[in-house]
Amino acid sequence: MKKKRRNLIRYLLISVISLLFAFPVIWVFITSFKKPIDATSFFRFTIPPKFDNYLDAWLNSGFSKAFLNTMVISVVTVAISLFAGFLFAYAIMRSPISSKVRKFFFNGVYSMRIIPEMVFLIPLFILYQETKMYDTILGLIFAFQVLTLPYCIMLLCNFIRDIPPDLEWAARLDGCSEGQVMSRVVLPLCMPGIVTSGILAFIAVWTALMFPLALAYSKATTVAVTISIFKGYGSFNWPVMAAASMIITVPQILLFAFCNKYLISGYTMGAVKE
Amino acid sequence: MSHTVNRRKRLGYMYMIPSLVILAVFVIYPVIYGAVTSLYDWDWVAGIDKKLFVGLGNYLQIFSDRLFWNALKNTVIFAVLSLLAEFVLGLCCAMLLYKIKKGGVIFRTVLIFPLTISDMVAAIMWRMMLDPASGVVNQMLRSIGLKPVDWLGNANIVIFTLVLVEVWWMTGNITLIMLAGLQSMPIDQLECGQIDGANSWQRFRYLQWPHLRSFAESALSLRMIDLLRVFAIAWAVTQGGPNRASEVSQQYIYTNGLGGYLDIGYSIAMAILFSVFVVAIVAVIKRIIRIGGDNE
Repeated sequence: MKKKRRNLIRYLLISVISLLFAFPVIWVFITSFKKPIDATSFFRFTIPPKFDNYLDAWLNSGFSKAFLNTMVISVVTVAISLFAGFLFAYAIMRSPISSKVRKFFFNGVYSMRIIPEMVFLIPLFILYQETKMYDTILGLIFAFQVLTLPYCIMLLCNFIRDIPPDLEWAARLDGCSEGQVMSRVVLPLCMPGIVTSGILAFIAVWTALMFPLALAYSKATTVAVTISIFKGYGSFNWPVMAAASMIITVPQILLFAFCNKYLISGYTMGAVKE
Repeated sequence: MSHTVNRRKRLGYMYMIPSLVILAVFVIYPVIYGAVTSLYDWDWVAGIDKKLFVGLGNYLQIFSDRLFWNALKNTVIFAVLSLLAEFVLGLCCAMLLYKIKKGGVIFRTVLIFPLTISDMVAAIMWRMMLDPASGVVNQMLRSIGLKPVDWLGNANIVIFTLVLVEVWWMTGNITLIMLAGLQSMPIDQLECGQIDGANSWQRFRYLQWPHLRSFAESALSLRMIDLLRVFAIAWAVTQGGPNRASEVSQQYIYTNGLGGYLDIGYSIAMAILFSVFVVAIVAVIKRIIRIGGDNE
């Protein structure tokens, strides 16, 4: 009896907390279908729902372009980080280098995760101005490596560490070359790690505000910046803002729907092993 | 055999080349370039061509810059409050999720969804909901007979407003890590405690906590790193206002450097000094958690 009551209390608590966490998203979702005049009231709903808000948001100056920009930037950034990061992680985990060298690289990569973005961004801003990389998609893709490459390397190291080295030795005995050991044994076994770090790096780029704010102006802006300019419009058109917020959260909703497992393992692992 | 070892070593270094090139060009070179530039008085508003060597002048100037210290103070208060709140709430959520048999996946999904949302979107959502006049939060407070709160305009409250948004946004991360910690614990140890008649606090304190400590350590230091670097939330929810009561370090540096004043040399000096603080604070946090562990 006592156990049952305890369980009930637990469910009650977790339900209340979950409701509090879900409320803002639900609220913004509802608001995105309202007329501006109804948006200020909790109890007023627009019937029928105003789907036009999504169209308005999409057609708002530069929004659709920024959406596509961000898509291109995120995908290419992640592809480069995964390619370079996988090779690097494999090398420091498995190459017979001395433990001192390994530690040096490991700490170097880790310290790049700690340092505040501004330290890179202001010098990059100057260098980009001088080299015409400012406000270009290519410039942002490479700048974002500051963020995603160390992140991918750290995550992939964790995954590679868990692959038994015996498998690699068995492949070598069977006559695989070093390249084949990597591409036919380690890479397939590391796929969950590649997917996980790819998803997390994608989200990191997709949501980043500071990089595009510092290094782009009009041609290569991303959604996070565009939506912040939305906000600047004198009169707050909340339903359209809400619709825009929902649109730029679509990738995350899709990832949640289809890659829940990878997301969770990534967010958990990001911290557990350093 | 040693022939192959050397070959594998060479191959290893070869694999590192792509990353090393990218990091050297886009991370290490800019940082060195920035460190050198921080020794110059270089104000683009006064003229891009006027670059004057001032040695440590910029760094000395920071010490009398009241606004820099104000922003640092705000950042630290924000980070410490958020860290405590996120940790307590995250640990509670993890314990609840761990104990619950059915439906855990749904609750977990709800709790960690905010993690994936952009901080900019999180800021906009809360900016709407916390609007003093027409925001839904104040409407709810009014409807249950409480006084509305000036979330965005009261200098004594704004930091807590930012903490609220941050806690909503990132608590899930700590929940996940602590949940992983709980799940990795051998069950028979807990059952031993139950048989010995330990109450639930004692079970937590002496059986679970020693196991969870390493998870807590990495969760706390990882969160602290990100909390100190806060930017979007302050920038978008309160714009640092009112009267700089919620201005945070990276925001102040950004405003001085790129987002307005273009005082390049000075802002890089601030960014470098701020990094030193971040590294120091994270080291202190790690030390505190370790000392807490040695008393066991």
